[in-house]
Amino acid sequence: MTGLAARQRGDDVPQLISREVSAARGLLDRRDLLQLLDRAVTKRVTVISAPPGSGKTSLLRAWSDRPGQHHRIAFVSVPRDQHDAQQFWLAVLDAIRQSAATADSRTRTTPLGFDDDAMVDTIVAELTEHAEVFVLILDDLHELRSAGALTQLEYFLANLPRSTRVVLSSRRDPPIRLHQHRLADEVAEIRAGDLRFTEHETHELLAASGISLSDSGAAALYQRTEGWAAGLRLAVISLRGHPHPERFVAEFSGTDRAVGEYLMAEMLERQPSEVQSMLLRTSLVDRLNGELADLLAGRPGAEQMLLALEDANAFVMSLDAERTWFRYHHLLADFLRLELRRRLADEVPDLHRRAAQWFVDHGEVAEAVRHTLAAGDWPDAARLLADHLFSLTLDGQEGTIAALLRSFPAGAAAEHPELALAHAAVQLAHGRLAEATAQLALAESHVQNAAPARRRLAVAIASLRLALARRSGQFTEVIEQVNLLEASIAEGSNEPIAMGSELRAVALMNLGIVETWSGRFDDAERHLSEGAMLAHAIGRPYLELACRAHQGFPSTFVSLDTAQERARQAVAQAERHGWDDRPILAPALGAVAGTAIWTGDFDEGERWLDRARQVADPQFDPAAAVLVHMVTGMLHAGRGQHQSALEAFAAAARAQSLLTGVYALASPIIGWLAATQARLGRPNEARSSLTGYFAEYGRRLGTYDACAVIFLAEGDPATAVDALGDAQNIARAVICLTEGDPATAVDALGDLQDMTPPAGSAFPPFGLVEGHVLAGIANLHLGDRTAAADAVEAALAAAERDRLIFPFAMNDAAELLDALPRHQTAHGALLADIVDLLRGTSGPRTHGDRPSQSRELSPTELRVLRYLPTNLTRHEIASELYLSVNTVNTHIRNVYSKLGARDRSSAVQRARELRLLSSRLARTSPS
Amino acid sequence: MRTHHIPATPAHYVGRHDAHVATPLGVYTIRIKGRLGRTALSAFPTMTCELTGSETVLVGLLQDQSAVFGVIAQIEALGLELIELRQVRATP
Repeated sequence: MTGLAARQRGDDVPQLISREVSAARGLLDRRDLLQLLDRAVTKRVTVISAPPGSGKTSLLRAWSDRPGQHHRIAFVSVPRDQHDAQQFWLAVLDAIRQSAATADSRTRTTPLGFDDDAMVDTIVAELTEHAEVFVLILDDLHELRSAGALTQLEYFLANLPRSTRVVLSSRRDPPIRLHQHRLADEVAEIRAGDLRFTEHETHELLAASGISLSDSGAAALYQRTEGWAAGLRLAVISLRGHPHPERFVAEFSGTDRAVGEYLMAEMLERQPSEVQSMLLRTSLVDRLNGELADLLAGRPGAEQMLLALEDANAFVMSLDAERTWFRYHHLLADFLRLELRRRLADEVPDLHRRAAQWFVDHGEVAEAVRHTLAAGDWPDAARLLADHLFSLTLDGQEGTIAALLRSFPAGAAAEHPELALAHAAVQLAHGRLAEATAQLALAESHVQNAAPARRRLAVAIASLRLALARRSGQFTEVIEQVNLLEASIAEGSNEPIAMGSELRAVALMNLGIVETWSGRFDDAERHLSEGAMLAHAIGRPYLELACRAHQGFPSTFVSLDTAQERARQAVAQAERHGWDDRPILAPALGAVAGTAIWTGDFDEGERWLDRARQVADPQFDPAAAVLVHMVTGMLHAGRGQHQSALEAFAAAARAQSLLTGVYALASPIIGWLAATQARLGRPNEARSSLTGYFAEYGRRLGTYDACAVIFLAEGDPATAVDALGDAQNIARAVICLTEGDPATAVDALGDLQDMTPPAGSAFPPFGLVEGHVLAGIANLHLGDRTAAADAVEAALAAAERDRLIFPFAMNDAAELLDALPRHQTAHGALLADIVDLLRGTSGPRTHGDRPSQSRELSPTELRVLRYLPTNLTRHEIASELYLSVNTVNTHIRNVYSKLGARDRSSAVQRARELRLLSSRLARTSPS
Repeated sequence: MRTHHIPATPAHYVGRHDAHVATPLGVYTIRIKGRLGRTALSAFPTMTCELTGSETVLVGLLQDQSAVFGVIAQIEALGLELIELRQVRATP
């Protein structure tokens, strides 16, 4: 007998399988079918829809590998049970780039942080670069289980570049709306009937496979299989070298057995026992290599068997050019799995355990969890998932975690607290803080009863609590959790934990962020730097970015310029990864905006502030939202728009009051709020703001006065005796001034005039400059021009190093500056800049002629833009473009920002000026 | 895990003790082309089978629509041809 294994001898067919070999293997060159596909691909979308075994993949492979195939082709096989939209689109992008294989495509970064639509936009953009026809084949599309990915696919098809063709191959008609393409006659279909072998082709196949069968035998075979490709291919495998081919056909034709099962059983029976054994025992993994196959089969030699089976076209396929990874045809795999359970049921759990161990050892956690579950070892699966939760989370695999959670039996969460932890991680990733909190509480109530040996669990809980506390803005809680976590990490330092570095980086990030917002900038600097370096070292760029995005604030060791440069670098890093629309970037964008405004560059500040507003999300990061409100208030105040400033500062104060910990910006926010109220002629409101907030705030500060003191003393704890008074006194001075009582204002400012910026500290003397400016104004009102001039000079001296122009603008110091004779100041250049700004002649140029921040619109933004002149609502635009309303809102915000527009009509006007509206769509404009 | 589970018809789904189930259980007959062998039949452990002529008729209690579609998916996965699917009666 000639089993398949016998074929392995001698024919060491290397990588590329030539046409002749494929014909000998029974892959008939079906010219008619190939031409059918050729014709189909002239349409933009081809749907191949037919049951398993119809020969869809064979056709697509034969067509792609055909000599003289002149199209560029990207071939994507959707793996079994693909729940993860991100992995799907990454695979598509990879395939396109591999196929394009241009020099620059390799250097392109893949947008790891997954934003569904952004990813599809990237793909559309890259495909647009190809002038010639580019064919994207999506095989086994029925395995794509992510509703999101299918919606995005619909959107992708609706926005297909002109030269792109897409072939969708599936067992079922794909659940995708194609009506627009159908109306345009741009859809071709190939169905089961088209794929069936004709009787003539059946004869050809038998002949090409070296099987001699009578005409009547061939006809019987054709009739029995009804031209079903898998049936014929299976029959060929059994017939090849069969001692009595006619009898085989006669027996097959004479039975009423279901075709596929009968032929697969026949094929299996005809294999040598070691091949049968290997096939059965390896059938429970979705893909395998020689090492894994040997492990499961319990004996060496699997790789040769797999190569031989593939060469014989026996429903085994290699997945890579080197032929090291294989998978079974789904039809065969399903049959083998059933047969395995029937014949070797006792072995099945252990086989799953072996597979799980192999996958763990090779870092494939999700596969390992799946097999552990299949082995019925729920506690182990739960533990495995919990232990690698952070690794999965940090890789952005929340979709996979959620899918794994669904695989656990109902009620498993109650028995295994680890699962509640995984649920919490998934909820947290979706910003559902209340649900995450509930899950976490559940996990915690269990861990208290658990054995102390489950230290990992405690560490995981502490770390999740930490993230949750920070996201909810509960700063006191964060610091407690970090201490717990640090103690926990230290306690187990002699016990290796895989996630130690990641946990440590996450802890450092959370700690640094909370310290930033508490004004403990020096501690924050240390922790964030360490966190960023650690994240970089362990290859976690997103974590690194999260750290760096919070390093854009000055501290004792970080000057204003350095801080801004860092924030800009964080933004640049995010842009390289395609993360510049992430909420995590808000602090960096807000920091650039804030520092620009402090230095009097209001236009620059406004551009960055617009970007910060777009990404800031109070759900995701309430502290950053406070920053954005505050900087908005500063911008308005600097421009003398006090009413708008008041609204922004009030919003900042409200957002800040929701945070339960100390907040670094509370003091300036309340101070500026009160001062702005005073400027608007509402001194009583201003007073009550001050007394109300500071009374409450001062009380809450009780336990954390050290933080406030450090911040408010501007980096010099020694002089921070009554730091809290600074902002309060400045605001009081403003109130007195606006009430026409400059003498009391001078009193309120008190010792301020004798203070100088602490030597050696890089921290900008924000409050000092403002105090001197106010003292100057007060003295001017008192008619003491000498004292006023001295105060201005002191203000300029304090402002010089960091160019702190903002206090002069906000307090409208024009008159005061006139009091200072030009020749008397040692800060003439700064003075000139400030005077220019206040007179509105020209803004200071702190960073030279920086190019405009307005960036080019992305293809999707352009598409959205073109709907703006119409009467369509955002909901209607979303529906037209197959987008969610949220996504459309995001695009519209981006469009406004990039065009410098405030609303729809100014965006349209600006777009017209820039000729961004195509003539066709412009006609639909109402105006 | 899907690799060898029969997605919709694990034995516990058919349990009659589940008080939470709102949808009525239904008895279904499913006609499939060809006589199924032991291997293919093992994919439908909760259903009884009758081999009639050149067809296989599976009869069994399916909990809800998910279970029904699970059986259909299994039929599809094995490359079997579905001829008829019918609900015989809904249990009260």
